[in-house]
Amino acid sequence: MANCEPISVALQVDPPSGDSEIVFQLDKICNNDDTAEWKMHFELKQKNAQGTLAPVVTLDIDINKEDHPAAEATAANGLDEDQRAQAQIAGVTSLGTTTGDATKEDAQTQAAAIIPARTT
Amino acid sequence: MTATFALVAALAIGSPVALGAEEPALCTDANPLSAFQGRTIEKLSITSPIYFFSAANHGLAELAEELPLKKGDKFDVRKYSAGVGQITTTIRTTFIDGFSAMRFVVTTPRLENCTPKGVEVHYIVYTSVFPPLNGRSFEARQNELQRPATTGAQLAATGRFLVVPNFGYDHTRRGFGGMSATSQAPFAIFDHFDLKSAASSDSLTGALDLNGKHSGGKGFLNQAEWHLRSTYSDVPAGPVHLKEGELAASFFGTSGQVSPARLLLHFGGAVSGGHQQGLAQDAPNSPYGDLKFAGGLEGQRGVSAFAASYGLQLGSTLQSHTVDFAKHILDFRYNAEWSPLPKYRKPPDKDDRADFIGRPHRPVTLEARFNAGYIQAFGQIPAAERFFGGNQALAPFIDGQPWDIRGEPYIRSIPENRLGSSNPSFGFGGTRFYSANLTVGKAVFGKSLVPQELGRQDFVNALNVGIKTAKGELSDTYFAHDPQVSAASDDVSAIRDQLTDLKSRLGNLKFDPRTTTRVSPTVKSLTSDVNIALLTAKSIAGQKTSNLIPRFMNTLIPKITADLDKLRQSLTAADQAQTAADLKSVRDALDQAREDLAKNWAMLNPAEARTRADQRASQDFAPAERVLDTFLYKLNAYSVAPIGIFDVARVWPSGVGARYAIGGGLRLSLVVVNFTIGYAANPFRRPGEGPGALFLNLDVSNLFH
Repeated sequence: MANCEPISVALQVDPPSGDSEIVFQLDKICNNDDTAEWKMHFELKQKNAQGTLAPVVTLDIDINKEDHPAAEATAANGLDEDQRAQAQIAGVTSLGTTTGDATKEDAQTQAAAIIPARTT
Repeated sequence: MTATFALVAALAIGSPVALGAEEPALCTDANPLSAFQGRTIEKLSITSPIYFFSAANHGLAELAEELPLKKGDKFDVRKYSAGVGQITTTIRTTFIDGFSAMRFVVTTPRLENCTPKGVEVHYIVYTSVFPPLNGRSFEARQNELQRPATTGAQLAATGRFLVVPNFGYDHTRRGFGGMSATSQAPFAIFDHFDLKSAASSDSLTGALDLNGKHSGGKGFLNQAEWHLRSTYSDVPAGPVHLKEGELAASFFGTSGQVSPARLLLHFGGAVSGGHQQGLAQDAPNSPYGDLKFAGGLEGQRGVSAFAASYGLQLGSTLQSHTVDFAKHILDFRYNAEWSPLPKYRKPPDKDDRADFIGRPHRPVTLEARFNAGYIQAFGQIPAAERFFGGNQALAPFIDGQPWDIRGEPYIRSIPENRLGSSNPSFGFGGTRFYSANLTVGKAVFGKSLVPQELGRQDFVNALNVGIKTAKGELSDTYFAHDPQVSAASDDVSAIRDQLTDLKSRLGNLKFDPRTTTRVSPTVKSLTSDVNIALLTAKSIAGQKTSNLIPRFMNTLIPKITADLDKLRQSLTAADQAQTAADLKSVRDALDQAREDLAKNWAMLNPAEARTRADQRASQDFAPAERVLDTFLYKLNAYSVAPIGIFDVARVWPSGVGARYAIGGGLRLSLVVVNFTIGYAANPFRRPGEGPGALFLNLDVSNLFH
C-alpha cells in the first residue's frame, strides 16, 4: 500500500451572472497509523440585497472509505462531468433550502454525492 | 455553475525557493509518515514557489504561526495533515469575491532534511486565477519572441507608477536619451497616463498620452482602448529637419476570436490636428490635420503567428479646405519559434511535463515582415507625412496603437530618415515604398525563470485540477446551450409537472398509525427525492441547464421510482389498495416519461454536442495554456541570443534603387530589461552612404499592461 500523503484542493467557480458562487474543498488527512481520511467542504454563496456574496449553505462532509479512490482522482484531476453536474444539483438543492423547497439534510445528501458521482 | 473565461493572464514569480537553491533532501519517499512521529520539528515553513495572483502572497509566515504544528513541537502526523487543509482554507477565503471566474488552491506538505531526531516541515501552496479575457494579440506573441526572459516578469508588474530611463543610438540622431513614465491615473474616461521624451544634440521627441482600456467585452469589441495624445517631434532627415506638433484622439478595438479560423480582428481610427514644418517643397510651414483608419487580422497556428494590416490616412494642410493626400499602408508580419515542449504523455507512459519545468530555454526564432506604402497626391504633401525610412525601430502608423502597423520602410543598414532623402535632386521623402525584413535568432545561453525545484508531479497535478475543472465548466456551458441538446430541456417540463403532482399527492397521504410508522422512512426519503428532482427539473427547464439531464434521468428519477415501488409494496391492507394503485399509476407514468426522455436524448446524439463543447472549451483555453506553457517551459531569467538579419527596402522617387542590409547582433534579456545591439552592413554602397549602421535598443516589456 502506498504511503499516505496529505493534500488539500480547493476550487471556486463563479457563474458568469456573478450572482452566486460555489466553493469546493477536498482535504486528505493522514492519521498517526498512516490510514487516510477524506473530508469535503461545500459552500454555496449568493448575492444578497447589498450586492455582496453571502454564504447560503455551508457543509462539511466526511467521505466514505469506498469513495476514497474517487476522492484521490478528484484531488489529482479536478471534477469530472458527472461530478460537475452533481455539484450543480447540490447547488440547486442548497438554494431550495432558502425557499423551503428542500431541507439542509437534502443539501447535505446532494453535496455528499459529488465525490461518488465520478465516472472517469 | 457555469463560467465564461478564457485566458490566464496574470502570472507572477514569488520565489521563496531561491533560484539555484540547493534541493532539500526529502524524507518520505520510502518511509511512511508515522516513521517520523515524535521527532522534533526543526523548521516549519510555508512557501508559494509559483503563484498566479498576488492574493496568494499574503502573510504566509504569519499563517505558519497559526498551524497545529509549530517549530519545536514533536511531529504528529494528524496535526501535520490538518495544517494542509487549514492553509488551503485560509488562502481560499482571502480571494476577492467575484474578482475572477475560477480559482483554485492546492496545498501539499513534505518533510525535508530529516535526522534521527528532527524533521523540517514544508508546506507548498499552488494557486491560480483566470481573469475573463478572450483572445490574445500578435503583439503578445511577438513580445514573447523578442523578450523571452521578460514577458513573465512583466506580467507580474502590479506597480502603480513606473519610470524607465531610455537611451539609444543611431547614426541620424546620434546618442539620444530620455525617459518613459507610466502611471495609473484615473481621470474621467482615462485610467493611465504615459509620458515619453528623448533628446539628442540635434533631435527632440516627446509625447504625453492619456489613455483608458476596457477588456472582457463581447463579439467584435472584446478589448478597446482610447487615447488623447499630444506629440512633438523634431528629427533630422538628411540635411534638413522635420518638425511636427499635434494633438490626436484615437480609438482602437480588438475582437474576440472570429470562428472558425480563430482569428482576431483589430481596427482603429484617429483624428489629429497641429502644425508641421518641413522642407521647401509642397507645404514648408502649415497647419495640418488628418484622419486615420486601420484594420487587420491576426492569428496563431502552432509555433507560428501572423498579422496582416491595412491603414488609410486622409491628410490636409487645411489651406484649401480639401483632402491634400491619401496614404495607403500594407503591413504583413510572420514569426515562429521552435523549441522542444513536453508531449504530455499520460500513464502508463510517463507524464513528461515535470521534466521540462526549470529547463533552460534555447529556442530558434524567425521574424519576417513586409510592408509597403503609397501616397495619392491631390494637393500638398507635408514633408513629415512622406516616406523616409531607415533603422528607427518604431514607426507606428497611428501613435499609441496597441498593435503594430508600421508606417515607414525599415532597413537596418541605413540611418533613420535617410532612405528617402539620399538624393536631394529628387526632393526629400518619397511617395511609395516597400521593405522586407528577416531576423533569425537562436538563444545559446540562459537560465530558466521558473526554478527547477518546481518540476514536481504534484505541481503538474495542481495545474490539472484547476485547468481541467475550469475547462469542464466552460464545456458544460457550451453543451447546455448547444441547439442540438438544449431542445431536450423542454422535454423535462412534462416530468416537472408530474413531479409537482407527486409532491402534492405525497403531502396528502394519510395512513393509520401503524402504517405511518412503517412507511415513514420511505415517505421521507421519497419526499426528499421528489423535492430535489423538482428543483433540478425547474433548473433544466427554466435555465436550460441541459447538461443535468443525464444525471436527472439516470439517477434522480430512478431513485424516485424505486422509492415509489417500495412504498407501494408496503401498502398491503385492503383499504390501501386504491392508494397503492394510484402510486403505481404515478410511478409507471413517471418511468414512461423518463424512458421517453432517455430515448429522445439518445436520438439527439449528445456525445456529438459534448465533443463540440469540449473542443470550444479547449479552443478558449488554448491561449491560456500557451501562456502557461511559455511561462513553465520556455521563459528564461536571462538569455543571450545571437541574431542574423537581412533587409531590402526601396523608396521612390529618390533616385536610388533597392537598398539592402545584412548583418547580425546579440539580444540580451535580463528579467525586465532587453538590450539588443547589432550591426547591419550596406552591401551595395552608393556615393554618400555609409558602410552600414549600428542598431541598438534598450526597452522594457510592456505586455498586458
